[in-house]
Amino acid sequence: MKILRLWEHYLPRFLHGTLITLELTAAALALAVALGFLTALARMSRQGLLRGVASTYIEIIRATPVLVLIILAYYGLPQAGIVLPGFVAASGVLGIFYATIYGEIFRGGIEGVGRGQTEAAQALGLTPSTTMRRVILPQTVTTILPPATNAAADLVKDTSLVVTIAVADLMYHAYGAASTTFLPMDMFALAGILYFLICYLLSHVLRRWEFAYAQRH
Amino acid sequence: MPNATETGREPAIAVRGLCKRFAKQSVLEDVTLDIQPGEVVAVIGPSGAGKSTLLRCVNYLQPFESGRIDVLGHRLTGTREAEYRRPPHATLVEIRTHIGMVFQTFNLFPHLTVLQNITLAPTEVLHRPRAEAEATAMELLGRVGLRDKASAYPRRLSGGQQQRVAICRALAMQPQVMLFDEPTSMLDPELVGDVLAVIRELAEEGMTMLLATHEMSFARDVADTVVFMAERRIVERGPAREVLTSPREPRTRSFLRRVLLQEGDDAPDAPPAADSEAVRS
Repeated sequence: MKILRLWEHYLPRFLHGTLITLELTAAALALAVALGFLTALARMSRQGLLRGVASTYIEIIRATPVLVLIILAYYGLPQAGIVLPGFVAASGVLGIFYATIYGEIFRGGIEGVGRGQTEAAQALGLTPSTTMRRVILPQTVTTILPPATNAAADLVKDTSLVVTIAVADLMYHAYGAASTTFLPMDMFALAGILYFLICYLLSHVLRRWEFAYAQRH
Repeated sequence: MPNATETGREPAIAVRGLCKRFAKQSVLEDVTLDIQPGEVVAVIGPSGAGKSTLLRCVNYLQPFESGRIDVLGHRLTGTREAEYRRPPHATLVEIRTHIGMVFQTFNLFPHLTVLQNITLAPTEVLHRPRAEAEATAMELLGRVGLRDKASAYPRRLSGGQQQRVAICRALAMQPQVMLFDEPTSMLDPELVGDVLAVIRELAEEGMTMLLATHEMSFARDVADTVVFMAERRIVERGPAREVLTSPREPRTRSFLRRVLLQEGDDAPDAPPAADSEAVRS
């Protein structure tokens, strides 16, 4: 079994790459969720200007390939005097891109909670932020989690695009090993298995959580 | 034309020339109405007459275009939807804290238990200690016969039970005025009585109430004043028995005739036994 010996040899650096992939995912996800929530609030705002800014942001970002955005951030911004480390540029762009997706997921979840819930909370004198925190958001968990899990899995896979700006993630090591061994199939298969495991575990854990939450309510 | 009640006291709610429109569609035109402290006012009339909208303007769930509402020492004035001359947030919270509202569709919070539904606003808005809020909630639940449901989630309750919990939720804020927006129209007929009994008890305790209802016999028994609305306006207003038994306006007369015909001979005058629901569950 030549391939197993080969994988064994390359596994340490692949795992190191996997760690970078996970770090990229975590950083981008945190940004995407925070910015996405703000985007959702802006899209539902009574202020026309806020609504306009948010939907323009979503339209522009979603109509542009992530790869183009990553390259622009890493190679384009330095021309404007902004030099970002590869990791920061990559997680920033992925976060900003996925914020549009999470924004729409949040908006869908929040709008799915009946108007009567907001009115009941208002009639009791609850402030908008308390209403959101105690009444609306808890009711969105079960509707938001499935699409949010899918988006997170997509994000894991999209982190592989950072290979273009030489961030040493899993894909980067797969490329490296493929070109030194001339065995691209073997090497990309190993990378594929590791990506699969990350996504599988991620959605598995989130689904368990979702189930546990639904059981409690 | 509405005539002011001659008590000489400051009304709890004074509505003056209230106009409300949705987009181009007018839903309230020049509505003027006084509600005295302790008075129970029932608003009757066909669907789409503006009953619900009137109630929802009083606690400003619905902004309105012109006219004003003086409620418990605060003034709400008309403003165009696009403009931002809304009342300051603190004023709204202040008003809503003192006005309880019960909705046609109950609107209990489904992710919270009955007890949590009732204690949410007292702890969050009035900053009551949890233990105190829970004690008050249990007392209220006892009054409506639902003590044993404190830890249940709303979906486990019948409509009648949900509505009684919703009434407790509003009462937990110790409001000075209660608004009931057709509180029994979503209920199965056999569950209506338990809810009406609770409202009746509140009326007897002297709670100031404005209620939109389709229950004519209930309005006659419980309300001091009946207001008949049709086509966005108040058509007739007077002592409950007078308006319901010998209305002055032809439109009131024809409405009542139609409603009473629908209710038929078996329309119950007295609510069903209070424990009819306990038997089912």
